Amino acid sequence: MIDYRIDRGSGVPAYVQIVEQTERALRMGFLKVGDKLPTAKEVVAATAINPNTVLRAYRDMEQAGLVELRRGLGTFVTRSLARPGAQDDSPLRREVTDWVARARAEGLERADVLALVTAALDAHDNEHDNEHDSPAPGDRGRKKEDA
Amino acid sequence: MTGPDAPAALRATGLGFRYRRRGGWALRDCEFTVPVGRIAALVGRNGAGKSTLLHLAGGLLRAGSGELGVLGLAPGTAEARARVALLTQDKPLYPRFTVADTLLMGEKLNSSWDRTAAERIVHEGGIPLHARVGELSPGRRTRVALALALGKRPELLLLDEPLADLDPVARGEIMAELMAEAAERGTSIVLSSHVLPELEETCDWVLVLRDGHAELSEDAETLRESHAVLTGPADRADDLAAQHTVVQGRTAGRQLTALVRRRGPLRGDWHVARPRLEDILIGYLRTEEEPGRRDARERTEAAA
Amino acid sequence: MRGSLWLAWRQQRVAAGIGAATLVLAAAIAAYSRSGMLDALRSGLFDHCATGPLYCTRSDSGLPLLLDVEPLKYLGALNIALPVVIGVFWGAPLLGRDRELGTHRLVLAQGPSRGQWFASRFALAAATTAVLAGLLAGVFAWWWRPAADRSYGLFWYDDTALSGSGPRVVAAALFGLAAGTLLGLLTRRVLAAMGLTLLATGMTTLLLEWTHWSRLLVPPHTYVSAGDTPKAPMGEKWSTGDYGLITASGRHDSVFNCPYPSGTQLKECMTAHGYVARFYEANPAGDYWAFQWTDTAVLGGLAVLLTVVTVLLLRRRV
Repeated sequence: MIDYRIDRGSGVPAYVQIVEQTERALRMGFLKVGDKLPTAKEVVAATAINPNTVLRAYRDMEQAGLVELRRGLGTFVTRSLARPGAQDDSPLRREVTDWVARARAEGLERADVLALVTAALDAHDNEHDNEHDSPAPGDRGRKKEDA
Repeated sequence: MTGPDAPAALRATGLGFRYRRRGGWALRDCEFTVPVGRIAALVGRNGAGKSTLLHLAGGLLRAGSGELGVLGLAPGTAEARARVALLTQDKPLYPRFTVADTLLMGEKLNSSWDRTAAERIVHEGGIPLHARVGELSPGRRTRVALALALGKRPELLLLDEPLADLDPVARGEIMAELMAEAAERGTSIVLSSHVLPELEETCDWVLVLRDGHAELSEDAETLRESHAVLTGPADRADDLAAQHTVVQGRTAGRQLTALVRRRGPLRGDWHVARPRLEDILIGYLRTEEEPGRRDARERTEAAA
Repeated sequence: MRGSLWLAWRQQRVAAGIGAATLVLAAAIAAYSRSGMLDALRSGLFDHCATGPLYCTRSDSGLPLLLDVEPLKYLGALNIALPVVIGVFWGAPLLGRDRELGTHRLVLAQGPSRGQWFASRFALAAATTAVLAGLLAGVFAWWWRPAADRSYGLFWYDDTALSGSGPRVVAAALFGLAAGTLLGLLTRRVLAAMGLTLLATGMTTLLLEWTHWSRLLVPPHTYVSAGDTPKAPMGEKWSTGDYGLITASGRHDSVFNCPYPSGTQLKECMTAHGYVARFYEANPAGDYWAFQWTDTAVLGGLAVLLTVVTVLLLRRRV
C-alpha cells in the first residue's frame, strides 16, 4: 500500500504528484507488481483532493502501462520500475553514498551536490538523446506544464 | 458536455432575484451551467449573491425572474427536496437536541436516510451521540450538520461556506469527508468559499459571481490552461490587449504583469507562468468594470 | 408529514407536558374543593337560602353564609389568562424560535415543505391547546355547578365564570395561539414576539371584558313594571345598574326623581311627576350563552383570520 501526500504549495498539479509518488514507490520497491493501489475514495479521504484528480492520475498511469484497472476490484500495479541499481544494497547505491560522503567532506552544500548531479545528468542525457526512454507519465505532465 | 440537453447539477437562465420589491438585485440575468458529477467552487466577493444563489437552489427562496434548475428539477419541489441537500452558512441546528436526536430528526424528516453513513461521519469526528448540539465546538457542529446533509444521500450537495469558522485540522477533515463522498457516490457538490487555496485541489469547476452576475462558469483545468501570467515590457500593453483578453494588469515602472486569457499563441518576449486557480480567481474578483471586460463575460457565457 | 409531526412533538412536548400537569393539578384541587363544597351543602346549613343575589345569613350568628369559591375563581382567572399564556409561551416560539435560530432552513433543507413545516406544528399546537383549554373549562364547569347562581356561590355573570368557562375559553386559547404564531413569524426575535403577543392578547382579553361590562355585544333586556306594582325580582339576572321611572310619553328618568322603594310616598311622587311605570335593565341568566357564543365567534373568527394571514405571509417571510 502507498500513502500519497499532496504538497499544495509546490505548484505541481496534484495528479502529477500522485504519478510521481507512485513511480518513486515503484522504483524504490515499496510497490511491486500485483499490488493494489488505494481506491480513489481512500486517497481522497486521506488527502482531501478532488476525486477526479486521483482518477486522472490513475488513468494516466494506466495509459503508460504502469497499472491496470480491474473493474470492481481496484487498480493494480502491472509493471515494476524497480531497477537493480536502485535497491538498497546495490553497488550503484553504495558508490553514490560514498560519493556524497566525500562531497560533503569537501564542504559542498546540499544545493551544490544536487546541482552537480543534475548537471551531470543533463550532460549525459543530451549526449545520448536518441537512446532516451519514452517519458514516464510524470515527466510528461511536467513537460506539458513547462511549455 | 454542457449542451442544453446534458444533465446539469445547476442551470440558470436569465435568473434574477431581489430581496425586497424596491431593493437592488441580488442576482440578475444569471446564465450558467454546472454539469453533474462536479465539485464546483462558487466564488465571489461579499454580497456577490453566493448565498442567495444557494438558497434559491435549495428551495428556500423563489426566483424573481428567469429560471434555475437543480438536476433538471424546479427547486423546492418534493423530488428536488429529496435529491438536493443544502447546508446554509449559519449551519443551524437545534442547540438543545442531542447529536442522537439530531440524527433521528434527519431520519424522520427524509424519505430516504442512510443511518450508517450519518453515524459514521459523526463517529469519525469523535463526537459522542449523547452530547448536546449547543455544547459542541463549531467544527463538531459543522460535522453534525454535514452528517445531516449527507445522511439523506443527496445527488447534489449545496454548501454555503462550509469551512468558515473552522480550525485547519477540522477544515481538512471536513473537506476529506466531502471528497470521499463525491468519490464514492459521484455526488455533485457546489460549495461557496472565500478560502481560495482550499479550492485549488478540491474543485474541478468554477462559478464566479460578481455583483449578482455569473462572471465565469468553467472547468478548472481549462481555466488554468487558457490563462497565463505574463511579465514583460509595459509599452507592449496595448499589443497584448489587442491579441488576448487581459483579465488584470499591473504596471510597475517599465514592467507589466498581466493575467490574460489566451486567444491564440503568445507572441513576443513575455515571461510566461502557469497561474494557480487562486491567481485566476483573484484576477477576476479584483478587476474593475472596464470596456474590455464585457466581452470576456460574453465569451464565458457562450462557453458555458 | 409524519416526520414533521415527530419534530413538532419533539419541540412541543415540554409545553404539552406543562399544560397536562397544570390540568391534572387543577382537576385535583377541583375534586378536593368540590367535595368540601358538597359536604357543606349536605350539612343543611344552606337549605333555607333562596335564589337571588342577596346573601342568606346563619340563623344563629347572623353572619353571611358563603361557600369557599376562592379557588374556583382562581381557576376562572387562569382560564381568562389562557390566551395570553398560550400565546406568549406556545404561539410566539412556534415559528419564532426556528426563525431566530435559522433552524427552519435546516428543516426545509431536509425533507419537509414549507407547508408541512407550518401545518404540522400549528396543527399539533392547536389540537393540544384546544383539548387543554376544553378540559380546563370543563373542570371549571364541573366544579362550579353546585355553587352556580347561588348567593353563597358564584353567579354566572361573575368575570371568572362568564369568561373562565364554556366554549369561549377554547376559542380564546386558539386565538392566543394564532396571534403568537403570527407575531413570531413577523418578528425575528422570540423575546420581542413574546412581548408583542402579551400586549396583543392582553389587550384583546381586556377589551372583551369591557364589552361584557358595557353589554356592547349582548344588550340588556328592559324589565318594566306598571305603576307602583312590585318589580320583578332581580334573581339571577345581571343588572346594568340602570333603573328608573317611565313617563306616559315613554321617557326614562332617573330613579332619584322618586327615590322610594315602595309605599304611599312612591305612589304620590309618581303621580306628581306623571310617571306610569318603573323599569330596570338586566341580562337574564340565559344570556350566559349569548355572551359565550358572541365571544366564541369573535375569538374564533380572529383565530381563523390570523391563521390565514400567517399562511399567506409564510411564503414571503420564510
